[in-house]
Amino acid sequence: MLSAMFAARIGWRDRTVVLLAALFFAMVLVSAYLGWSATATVNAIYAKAVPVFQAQGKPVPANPVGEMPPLSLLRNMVTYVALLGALAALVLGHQVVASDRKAGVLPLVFSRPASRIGLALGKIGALVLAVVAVLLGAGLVNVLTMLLLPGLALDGTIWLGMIEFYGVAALYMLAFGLLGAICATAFASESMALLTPVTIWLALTFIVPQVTANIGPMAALNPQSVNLEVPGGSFFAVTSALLGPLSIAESYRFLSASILEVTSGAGTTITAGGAMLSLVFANLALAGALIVAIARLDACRSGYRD
Amino acid sequence: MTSRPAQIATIAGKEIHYALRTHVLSLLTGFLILAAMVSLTVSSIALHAEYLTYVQSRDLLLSLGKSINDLVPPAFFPLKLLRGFVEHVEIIGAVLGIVLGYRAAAVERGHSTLMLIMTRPLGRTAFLAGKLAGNMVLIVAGLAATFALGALALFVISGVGLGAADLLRIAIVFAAAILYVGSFFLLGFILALGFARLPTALLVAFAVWLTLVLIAPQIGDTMDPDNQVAGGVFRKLGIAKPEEKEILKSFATYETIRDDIEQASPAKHFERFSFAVLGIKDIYNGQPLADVILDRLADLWWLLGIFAGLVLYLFARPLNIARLSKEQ
Repeated sequence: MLSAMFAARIGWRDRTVVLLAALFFAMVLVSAYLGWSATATVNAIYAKAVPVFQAQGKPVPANPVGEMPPLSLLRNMVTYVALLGALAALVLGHQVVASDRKAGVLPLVFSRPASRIGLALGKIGALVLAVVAVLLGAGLVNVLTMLLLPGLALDGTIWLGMIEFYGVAALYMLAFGLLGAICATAFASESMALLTPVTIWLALTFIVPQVTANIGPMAALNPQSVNLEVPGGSFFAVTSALLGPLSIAESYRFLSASILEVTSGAGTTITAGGAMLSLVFANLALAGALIVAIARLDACRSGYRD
Repeated sequence: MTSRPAQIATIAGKEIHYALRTHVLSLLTGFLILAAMVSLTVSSIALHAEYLTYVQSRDLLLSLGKSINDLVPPAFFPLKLLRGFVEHVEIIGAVLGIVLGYRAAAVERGHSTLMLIMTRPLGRTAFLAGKLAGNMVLIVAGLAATFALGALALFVISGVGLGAADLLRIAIVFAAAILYVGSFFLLGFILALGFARLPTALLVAFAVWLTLVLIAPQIGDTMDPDNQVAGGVFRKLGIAKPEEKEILKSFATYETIRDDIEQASPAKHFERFSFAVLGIKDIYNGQPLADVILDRLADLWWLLGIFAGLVLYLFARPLNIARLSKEQ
């Protein structure tokens, strides 16, 4: 517990982590604005369209705003968690381990009568605390937005949906935090320790979805991309079966888009259970890998080469 | 005392030699090539799958004795397969530029060689010009390998020989990519020379990359009035094109703000220009190259302007050697 509190404090004292977290919060506000803008724009278009229908003697259709699920106003959060949230978690994970290595305190820590597994669990605890703190802040902004937007029918299912979305976002961010911590532990060079997880993040976000479902790099940023039809043929059937369980970016996007009701469920072979299993398994495997990496870290050569 | 061009060439040579010795450049260039090749392969497989679906539907209709007039065969334009390729250059190419720029400054600061170099009879301008020249050679080489392999893969995958006109279009996009990636190199380099702490410089560069390359275009796309409802608000309301245009006139200011957000992104300029030149955007497909370039000249000017502006800033900005020599 002490180790977790200490590591969390070190992470938060780092200005780069604070900068990314601040940028993430800024984008949460932008997301709130875009949610409001979506409603206001559709209302304005509808108001302009009504006289056109009346002049043409056509029946006036219902305002599409009424059909927009309230949670879909948060759809941009899907993208910002996948971009800024994951990157902030990655840097936080890096920092939680790298700060100890750079300060040269690990030989001293390892000389104390405390187990390395306990230290690793402390680091994981610190990451969980930090990710939950960031998402609690973001969730608070979203709650205020939902309360301030007029005409929204808010009930228990909406709040439950928000909790589910932030739960999925926490699992996704935590996976990248653990990846950052593993690389910060295992690599001898700090630049490679930062660059390698960023490269893995790029591959998971932009390359794997293209291989498994023909979703282009830019389209992968759109939560609606889960609705895209996967081309037929054996290639995509094989790649989605083989790489699908490892594609945590797709699992996260599918789950969050489903919770926020921005997906029709069409065009995907992923199931909610499979996607959740993939996220949970990724976190457990990465946590295990971090424990092993810290257990194997050579205390005498714990500093970085660069 | 050696001449200034010789000094610049020495610094540039050292830069190339050092970059080739580290794994960072090879890792990122290899990753860009891998991503580009994956994209090309997957695009062609998807097109093939689309063609097979068409053939099955056509055969089914013919076997039932029905007309196939309403069935549109998939169009095949080899250069259109480069869509994902361009997007990967847009995303990963920018990261390559930032990392090269960061490394160019960090290597001198981390090894405390900046002060040593500046004790030699070498001007600040020659030092910066050498760094810029060496890294631009690395960027050109990395992109040349990516584009050459891309063109070769396009020929192998599509089975259609690329004519001189096609290769010229690819070469023009390659030139635009040099300006684009070069701008991100300058961003990384300027920030790593400006910030007291190197990791902060790298993270700020990545934050700018995220904002300009991924978030600004996404916000612009999200703010599109027609994208607010799944399937499009106008289609949902059953509004015809002429009325849609009339209604959108009332959103002129909104559309200007939306376009300005997209214009703020160099990635969007690179994408718009490349998609037009390669005919990926339907309205430019089959159009003469000169007409396309004239129509998208503003995007090219933006890319040139950003690159030139950053070069000017790099040379105009004072370099506090004593402060930068203290690695923090």
